[in-house]
Amino acid sequence: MPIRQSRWFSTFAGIAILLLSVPSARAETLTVWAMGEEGLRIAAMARKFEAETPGVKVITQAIPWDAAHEKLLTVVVGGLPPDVSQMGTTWMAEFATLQAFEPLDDYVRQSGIVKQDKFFSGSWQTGVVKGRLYGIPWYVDTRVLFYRKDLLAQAGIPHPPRTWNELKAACKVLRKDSDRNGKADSYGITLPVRDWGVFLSFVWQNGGDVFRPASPEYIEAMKYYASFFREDLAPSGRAADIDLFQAFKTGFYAMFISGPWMVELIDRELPELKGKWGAALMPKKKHGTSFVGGSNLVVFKDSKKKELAWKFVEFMSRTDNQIEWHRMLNSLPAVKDAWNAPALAKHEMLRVFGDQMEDVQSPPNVPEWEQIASLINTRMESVILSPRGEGDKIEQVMREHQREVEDAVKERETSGVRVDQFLYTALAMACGVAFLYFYISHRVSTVDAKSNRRTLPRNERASSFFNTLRRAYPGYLFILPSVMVLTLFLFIPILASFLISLTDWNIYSLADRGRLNFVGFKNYMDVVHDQVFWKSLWNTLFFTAVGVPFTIMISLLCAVVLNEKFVRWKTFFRTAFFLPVISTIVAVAVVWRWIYNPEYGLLNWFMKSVGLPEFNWLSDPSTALASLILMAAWKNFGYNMVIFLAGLQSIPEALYESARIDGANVWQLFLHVTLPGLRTTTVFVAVMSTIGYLQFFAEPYVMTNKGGPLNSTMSIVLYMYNQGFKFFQLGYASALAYILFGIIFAFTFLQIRLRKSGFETPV
Amino acid sequence: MKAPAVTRIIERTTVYVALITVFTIAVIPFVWMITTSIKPGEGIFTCPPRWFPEHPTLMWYKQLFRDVDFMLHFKNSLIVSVTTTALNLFFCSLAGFAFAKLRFAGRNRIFTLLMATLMIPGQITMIPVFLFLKKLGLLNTYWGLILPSCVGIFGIFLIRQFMLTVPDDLIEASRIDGCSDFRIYWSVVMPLCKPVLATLGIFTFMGSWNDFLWPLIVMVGEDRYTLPVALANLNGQYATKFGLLMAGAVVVVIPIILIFVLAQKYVIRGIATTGLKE
Repeated sequence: MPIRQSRWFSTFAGIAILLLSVPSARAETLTVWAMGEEGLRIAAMARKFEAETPGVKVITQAIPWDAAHEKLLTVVVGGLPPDVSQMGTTWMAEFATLQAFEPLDDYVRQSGIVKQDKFFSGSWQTGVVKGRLYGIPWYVDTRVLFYRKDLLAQAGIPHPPRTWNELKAACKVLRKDSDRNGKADSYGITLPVRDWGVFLSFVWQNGGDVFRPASPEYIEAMKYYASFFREDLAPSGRAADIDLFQAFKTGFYAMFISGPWMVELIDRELPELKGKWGAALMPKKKHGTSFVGGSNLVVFKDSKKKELAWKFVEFMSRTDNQIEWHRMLNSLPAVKDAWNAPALAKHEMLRVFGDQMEDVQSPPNVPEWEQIASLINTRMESVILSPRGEGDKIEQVMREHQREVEDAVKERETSGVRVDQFLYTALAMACGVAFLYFYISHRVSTVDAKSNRRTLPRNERASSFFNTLRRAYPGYLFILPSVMVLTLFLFIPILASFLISLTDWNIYSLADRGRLNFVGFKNYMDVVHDQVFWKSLWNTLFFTAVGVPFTIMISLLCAVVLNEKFVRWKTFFRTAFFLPVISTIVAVAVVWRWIYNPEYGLLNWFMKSVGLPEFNWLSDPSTALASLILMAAWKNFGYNMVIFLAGLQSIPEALYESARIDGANVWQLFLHVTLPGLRTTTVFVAVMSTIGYLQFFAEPYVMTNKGGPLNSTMSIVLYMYNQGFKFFQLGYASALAYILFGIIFAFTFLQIRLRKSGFETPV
Repeated sequence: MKAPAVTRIIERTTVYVALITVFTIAVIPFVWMITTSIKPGEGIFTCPPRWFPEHPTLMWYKQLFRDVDFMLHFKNSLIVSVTTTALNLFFCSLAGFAFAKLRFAGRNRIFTLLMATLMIPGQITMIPVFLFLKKLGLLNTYWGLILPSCVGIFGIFLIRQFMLTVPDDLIEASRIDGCSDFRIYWSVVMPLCKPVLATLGIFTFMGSWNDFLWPLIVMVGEDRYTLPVALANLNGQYATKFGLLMAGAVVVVIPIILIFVLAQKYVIRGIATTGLKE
């Protein structure tokens, strides 16, 4: 029999492998990644490169900007990077520390095309990390002030604001509230709520420093920036969500700060504004600094076609291609020669960018930059969105911010525990635990099975452990595939995860094994001081505590109603109620984002037509979580309803009959017959829903841009995902997973205990 | 006897009003999804919402399959879901059979251990499994999605529960006739288990088809995205092209709805069983 079975197995496995093996292309292919619009347009350059380089096929892939960082980290950690990629200048240090890039110094030395003096010096430096060159500037990017000439002139402002004071004064003049309802009808400027690039420009203009947020210069800049929102000189909340082109066209605001791509976009989207708008240098305080960024092109160390990849980088750095790229995307060339092209030198708006490039600053080239940037964004948002009147707290917030920035860049001391040793220990421990478990279970089951022993031949009774194994062979063979898969992908990972949670495993120790440290329960201790964790814990508990009873109530109601004997088309209704359950959350989220849209959404339309107040559902921190609960209830009630329906079937009809004879009305029947009869079912539903709701992830991931606004929809699982697969803080993320497990365990235990005590009380 | 009649009418009206209200809420998003996907560019952003387009069009679907290549993602999803389902049915039924009908040392212990791990949130294993798949070189492959989920503890439980109801006499009789254990499993027990296999099959398929988090982590190349990941990606790239997004959503949701409508008997029964037996 075992032989038959194994043949069956290999046949099956063979078929499966055949089905899944994908023929790999033999032609020389080059994979190039680029973000956003660049990713879509780069295909044209790729075709040109293919034409110049016969026998090469370039595969381009567009990565959305907001997913790009985690995507790149994942592929680098996974060892599957593209050959060439666009790389944001602020990410260079981080990825260079991960040893993700091929150093390019030698390539440049031998190159006839790429030479340092051909590039803007400030932009060249973004490709250099710790003295080695890893990236070649592709295009540069800076921010300037866009303004409506006509609107400023109408308001009696002769030229675009050149200083902080002029900017503030202009905004005060331009803010209009013609119907005097306290809500402005038009503003002077719109400023981003979460964009460190624009905000830091103001900090730099005042002589501030990213690493010293508690300094007076920094605080003054923050106060200046926030004052636009506090004095209602810049739109916030719903008003800020209005489409930029629409707002600029109607004059809802007369100024905004943005990058070079806007020049082309305004021309295209708002042709009627031609000649009525302009671009100006950033307003000055001590300096007129703007942020400089842009993108470099990098070659990955794990690429198998580095020579070809470098050829592509050279191709993109050629002056003619730089000009062509500018023509396609209006991005600013990194090669100085390209600026002599008429399209740039004679362009009224783009020239401004050229001038602005004289006074620019880039964020510090430290590997922790992404983390710091995200901290700045959060602080920015919290200061701006905090209730008015809390202005005095800015100093305190900035002191906290300084501490967290210092924490982020703090040098970690390394102890040199080898990761391989660590892994072997983990594996040995796992095997040990498994062996102990089965040995003990064998001892217990020999005791358990004593009664069964009678059927066995006498000489096998005093069997050894291994004898048992032999006798049990068929059974083990049947569970072997399952146990193997579960051991590899469930049991060992569960243990390994715990061990990882005791280390400081992060991206750097992934790249350099010597940097892994055993830190004991430090990760669990750190959680205590982690504000985002507490926020996510609170959100998760709130989501569960409100969501579970809410969903169960709806489910129960539907089940009871649907269970009425006279109701027709039962299957039809049940099917309809079940549709949300089976549909993919990502697809559902697309529709629900529309339902919650503050301007065109169904929900606000409904609220308005019945005379209720409208909300900015998903972008207001106070309603975002509630919106997700509503959606989750919609998605899940059908599942519980089916379980309740089954539970209702099992309540004997006689109980209802006798209650009716006793004169009970509908409500009393429900209260005294239905509810007690459903006790077991309810506990089951509650336990399952709680376990599910405590793990909510996809809802905030797709609906509220990964936990926003202000982390008001950050869940534990999402936070764990962020820590684990966005920042690759694997140790910390594992600790979070175990904490979640602890919470789920506690809840389940509690609910089952409650049920037990519930059974003992007479119904 | 008039009073009860009036009460009954009131009762019935209330029940139907409640049912129709819930029905509307449950179905509206799907109606909107479908109608928006056939609306041409304008008219999506109108208030009050316009439900049905005056000039229905398939332009978004064309764009979806031509420019975004949703066919490829559809294929990925199909391969992964079908293979995962097939492996689950085979492995879970093997194990379920052993736990229900074969006697071996530690059987109940192992089963209890499996049941205990049902409570552990899947996120705990994500990081080690990710590193493990990396070591095996299975990132960005179909196997990277299939292997970790090709056996479900829930599936083993479901099948074992069903197989417990198969009479022991039947198995003993086959054994006396000289059937091997595997033969008994394959030719005697499995044919009796078609309903529960259908249930498990549909559940696994739905779970695999709808899975979002794991494919998001494992599938690196755009050409390997499954439908939900591709749709989320689309959402990030064309956030304002609602017609295109809705067309994508329809493509993701329709197959699963079709399967459900055709085989809902098994789904409902499966859920009801798990709810009552525990």
